[in-house]
Amino acid sequence: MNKLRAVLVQTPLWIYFVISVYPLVWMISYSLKNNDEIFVTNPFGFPTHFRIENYIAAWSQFNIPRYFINSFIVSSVSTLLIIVLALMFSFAIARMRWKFRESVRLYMTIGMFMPLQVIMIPLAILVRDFHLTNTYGALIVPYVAIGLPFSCLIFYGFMKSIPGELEESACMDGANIYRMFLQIIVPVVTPAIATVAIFQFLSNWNEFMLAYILISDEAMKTLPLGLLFFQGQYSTDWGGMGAVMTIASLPMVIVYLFFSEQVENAMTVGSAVKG
Amino acid sequence: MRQALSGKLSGVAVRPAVKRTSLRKQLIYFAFVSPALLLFTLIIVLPFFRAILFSFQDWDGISSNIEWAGWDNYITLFHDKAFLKSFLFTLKYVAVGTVLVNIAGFFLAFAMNFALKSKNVLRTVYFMPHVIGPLIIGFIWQFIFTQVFPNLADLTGWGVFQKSWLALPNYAFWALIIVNVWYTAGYLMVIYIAALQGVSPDLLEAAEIDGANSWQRLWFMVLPLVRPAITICLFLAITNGFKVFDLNFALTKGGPFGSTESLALQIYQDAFSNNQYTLASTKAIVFFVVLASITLIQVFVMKRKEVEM
Repeated sequence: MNKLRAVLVQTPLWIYFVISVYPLVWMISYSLKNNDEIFVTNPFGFPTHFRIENYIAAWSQFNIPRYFINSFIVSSVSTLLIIVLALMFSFAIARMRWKFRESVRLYMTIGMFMPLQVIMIPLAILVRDFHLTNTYGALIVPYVAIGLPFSCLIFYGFMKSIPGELEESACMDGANIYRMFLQIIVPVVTPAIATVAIFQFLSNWNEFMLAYILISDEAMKTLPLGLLFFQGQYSTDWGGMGAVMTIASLPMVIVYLFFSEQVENAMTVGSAVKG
Repeated sequence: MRQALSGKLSGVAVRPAVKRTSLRKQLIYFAFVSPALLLFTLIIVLPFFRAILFSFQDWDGISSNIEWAGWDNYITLFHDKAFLKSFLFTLKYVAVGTVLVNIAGFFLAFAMNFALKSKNVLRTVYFMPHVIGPLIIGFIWQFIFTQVFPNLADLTGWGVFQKSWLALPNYAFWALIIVNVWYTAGYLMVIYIAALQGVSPDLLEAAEIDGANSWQRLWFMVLPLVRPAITICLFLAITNGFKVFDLNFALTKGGPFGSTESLALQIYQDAFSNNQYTLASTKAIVFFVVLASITLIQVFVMKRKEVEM
């Protein structure tokens, strides 16, 4: 009876497994085929010839390395800035007693509920007025600001749970506020830093809407924009498109496969906070 | 901190000293929060107020004179067929999507309880689409709908695969829903799994002994116990549904005939393709008010039920 039930439950799960994984496997598989194989001779099966040339062509003839570097610079610099600014902010709010800290915290929290669609028009004008269009700053500055409310909340929650004795003893030893921040609090919140880093890097790496609005210069495009450009220009070269998409998603998938639990936690912890 | 501590310990005696340095302390605290605060204000808060201002103005985004329009933009919206169409589409997309995504996510999580050995593999794969990002997912599925489905039709002869899903308005809607469910179910599943782990097996066993069947246990015990997770997941599905842009853009670009144009996509098109900055801002403000009211009501209603429990 139990066995029957197990089979009954497991079968849909495995069917959904196939539905889940097939589009991804298949993206990789057609990146290794040419158009003839994709459409006519071998549309469903695994590639027979392993045509690496799609990757070589994508990497050498198009701007893929450029997009890749841009994506990396934008994502890592903004993630780093978010972490530094959010740590400083949360430290002063969570660990220090002062008059306006509660109102400052509330003010920042509101930002989590602000849809990007509402602010994107004035934001685009702002970026233009600051002469940031088509620079790394055009993306980094908004990404940092958008990432702050969520990150501050995570750090705040984490720092709140640290017992006060830690600082009191540091105080006795004569540590000033800066040392307290850098040598006591920051090391303790390392797990939260990892969470924020994963979450922010991933969302910045995949961010498309703002990049699409703020970047038009070929040399400054990030991977999602490059993908779109490639799709428009070489819409018939499906093998090449598959290769480009694989290149764009592979880094994140590899990170995820190695740290799946951390990534899942990082990406769903925001939901717990928001509720 | 030292001041705060000693001030608390010794009270009145050190007050003058506390006062003088506390100003210094306040400045230091302010220095800690101000970079984040300034950036947040400049990039999020001010643009929000500017968007409200824009919604009462008339401007093409380029010329130097901005005219005051009063409520004209809002009145225009009510006669704007494209806007109403997009509004209805978005509402329908959110309603259908939210229900299906949550059912799928919950049942994946629930069924996971029975798949002990393969749990980790399944979970990792179900969540994977969320790591890849909606743009690539949209492109992959676009290819599936336009190229793989005809192949499947040849193979199976089934009518569902013979339709061109992205070119027929009704089918395009369901194509978006399918991809949305496929993309989001694994994400909500992770939240539901965490919630289900908090449901004590002893409690369920006791109910089983008392004669409750599986459906009764699921309906009367498990669901009420994971209600906080349901609140969160509904909230996430509603907000993400309203904000859909990347998926919509990659899959249908709003077509066919504007039948699948989400509000986010339309706001983008109006502002940056047609230079109607102020009209687009009005749409954005309406979008904001609707989204905020719906989610506030949803969270309020669900939370109240949690308390009653």
